[in-house]
Amino acid sequence: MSIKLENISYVYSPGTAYEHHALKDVSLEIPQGQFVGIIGHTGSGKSTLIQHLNGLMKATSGKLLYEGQNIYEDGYDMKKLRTQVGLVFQYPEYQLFEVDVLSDVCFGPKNQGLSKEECEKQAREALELVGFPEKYYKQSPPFELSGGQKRRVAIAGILAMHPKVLVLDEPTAGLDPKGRDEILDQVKLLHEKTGMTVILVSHSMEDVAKYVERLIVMNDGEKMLDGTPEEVFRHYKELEAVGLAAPQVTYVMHDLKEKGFDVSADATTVEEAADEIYNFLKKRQEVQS
Amino acid sequence: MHGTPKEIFSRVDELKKYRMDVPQVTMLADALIQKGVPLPKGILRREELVDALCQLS
Repeated sequence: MSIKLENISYVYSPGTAYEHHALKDVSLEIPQGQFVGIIGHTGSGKSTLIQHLNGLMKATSGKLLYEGQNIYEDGYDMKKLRTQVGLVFQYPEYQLFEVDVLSDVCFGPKNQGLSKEECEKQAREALELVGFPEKYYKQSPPFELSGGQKRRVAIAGILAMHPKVLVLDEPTAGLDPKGRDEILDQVKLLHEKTGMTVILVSHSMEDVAKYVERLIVMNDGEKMLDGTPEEVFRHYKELEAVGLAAPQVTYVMHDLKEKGFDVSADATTVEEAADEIYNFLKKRQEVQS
Repeated sequence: MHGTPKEIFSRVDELKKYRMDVPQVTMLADALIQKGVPLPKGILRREELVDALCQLS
């Protein structure tokens, strides 16, 4: 069970003056259950890439296999694919439209043809998964909620369809730091609880480094790096060359190493770096005394 | 809350409570202070932290 891209290319407005190669020969495979981050700066092809994952955009060339089946084959059930690969767009709260929160989250399962009871059951489960407080299910039109809460409702709207893969495009854009941490913590929790594949698109290295097990770096339509956060941030000089940066702590660890500290430069989070430096200092002290 | 950036950013816990972000280097320095490493408060830049750590012996 996986999503597999084979030599995917996508060209916007081919044959015109506006022709633009947004994806160039991208191949990758995402196994079921993985928590993946896709990073890259504006225009690197991240959003174009993820819109291929549920068939919303069709590659100019290449193959996309979902669970072993080529989705571009005649007669492939696109509707089913779109319920299994749930895509949460940027600023999804703008897409809320129903009279109350629960009805809004019911919209997806209703379109899948489920009964009213089943819809409500799945909607309630989804809202619980995103940590949305039950007392607001019925009361308020969703537009009156805070930005962070609205976003939870929008994510729940996708989860209610029971997707196997959840794709989130910049889920923290426009939230304050606490709202950002809350959403990302919640996404991590729901990944652990459901075993869903989660694909998180972001331009913030520091955000994704804390959460994902694998990072894919996009640059100018190409897959530039692919590996664990540690592996990817080892290439911090190449990242810089294309306008991206590793987390600040990565730089601190490299600086310390240069100054003769016997520390690993692979730390990608504050906690890892603090432990690494602390352990080094302690060991050094023990040797001296 | 007001003061120089150094003064403000030495109050990491308070800032987090007010839903504000703190530079990662400042958080790292704070985490080390919590573990008992004698570093000055309000470290903002990567060079400052590296220098301060090099001066420990």
